[in-house]
Amino acid sequence: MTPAVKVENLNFSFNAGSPVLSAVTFEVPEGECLGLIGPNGAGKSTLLLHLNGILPEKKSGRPSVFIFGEPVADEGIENIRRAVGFLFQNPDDQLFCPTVYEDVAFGPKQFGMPDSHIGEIVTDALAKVGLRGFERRSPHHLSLGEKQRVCLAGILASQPKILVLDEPTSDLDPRGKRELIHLLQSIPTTKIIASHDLELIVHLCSRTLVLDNGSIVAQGGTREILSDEQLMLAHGLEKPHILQHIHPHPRT
Amino acid sequence: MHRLSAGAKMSGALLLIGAIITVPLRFGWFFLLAFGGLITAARVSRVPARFLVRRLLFLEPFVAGVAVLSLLREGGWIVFAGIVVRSTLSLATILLLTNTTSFSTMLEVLRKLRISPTFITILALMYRYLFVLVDEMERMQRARMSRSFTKGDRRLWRLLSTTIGELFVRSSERAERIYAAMCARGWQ
Repeated sequence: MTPAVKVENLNFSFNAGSPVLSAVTFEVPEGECLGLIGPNGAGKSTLLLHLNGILPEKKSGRPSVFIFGEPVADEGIENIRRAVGFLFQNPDDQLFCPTVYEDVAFGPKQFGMPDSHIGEIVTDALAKVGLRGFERRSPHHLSLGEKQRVCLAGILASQPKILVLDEPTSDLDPRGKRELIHLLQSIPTTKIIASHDLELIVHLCSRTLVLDNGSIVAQGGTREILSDEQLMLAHGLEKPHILQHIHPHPRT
Repeated sequence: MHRLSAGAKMSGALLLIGAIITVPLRFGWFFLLAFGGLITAARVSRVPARFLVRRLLFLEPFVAGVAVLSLLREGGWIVFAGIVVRSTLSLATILLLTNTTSFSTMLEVLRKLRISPTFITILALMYRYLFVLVDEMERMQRARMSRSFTKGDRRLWRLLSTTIGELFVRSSERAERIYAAMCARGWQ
């Protein structure tokens, strides 16, 4: 079966500077939830931005990212962006419309959904994230948790096949985080989550990649990877408390 | 007032402003009428008078700055009075409109009038990020105040200019991130 995401020997540097990503290769089968961890500046966000073709700005040479077998190239980029929903780190950057309604409707409108359907889609998407009745609110007056959920509604409204989330819990309080975990668990699409929040990764991801200095240094089952204290410490991470009493024996 | 259709309010305001600008000054009754009308409208829409006056006073220096030049010429005080009366009434009209109509409904009206979508997008983004920018500036100012121990020092002015520069850099970086977020959701 074609993997949902396939990255093959991806190299990248900003303005021909030192390499940010080197020879990154991995696959994500459909329906999997993949964790992406690593220290600050490892290249996690840069890698994610390649998955919907925001980077590189000039796409020349052989494509190295494939979404359901389709290369991420200038041609057909709308389809790629429709298939890949991207949750950015800072909700204020992502909520760019004057009202919640317009923001959630933005994606479907861009992808040519007929106007008559949009109202229904927005209501559905807001209901999914538990924000029914927020349509007329202005993003500026929402709490960070609410903003994050509106962002998610804006993405779900385009019915993506893959969700890419960059530090989804960095601004959330413990309750907001718990709610986000439940919400993401209820969404069955393929997911790729980059985060320092290792608890979130343990709860949601079955498999995890460790990225450091632009290359993949380890990958495998989340519990095995995150329980490997040596590996975690070597890459600016730590073994999360919820795994303190689990030993990295292979599960039978 | 709040429930009137935005289109009606906007065209009403536009007409009124057009009249305020073009009606010759000798029809003093017209300006009195406009003034009375605006006061009634403010009353009906329950916009607090103090709030309106304060906003108006905030804008008045700009009016005065332009008008004061006319005093330099002979018989200039009539021109001066004309500019002050006309600008003040127009500003009051706009204030009343913006305080009884939400920005997004006004944009909706512009959209229906087939104003260029790029222009509307720029307006919408400006309105959205104005407050984010003000918040960011306040945060920077607070951080700066927490670490500067002198008052009225000339160095403070230099700090202020670096704050403004920093704000500019941050805004342009934010603009890039916003553009990426727009592209990610299908903007072309």
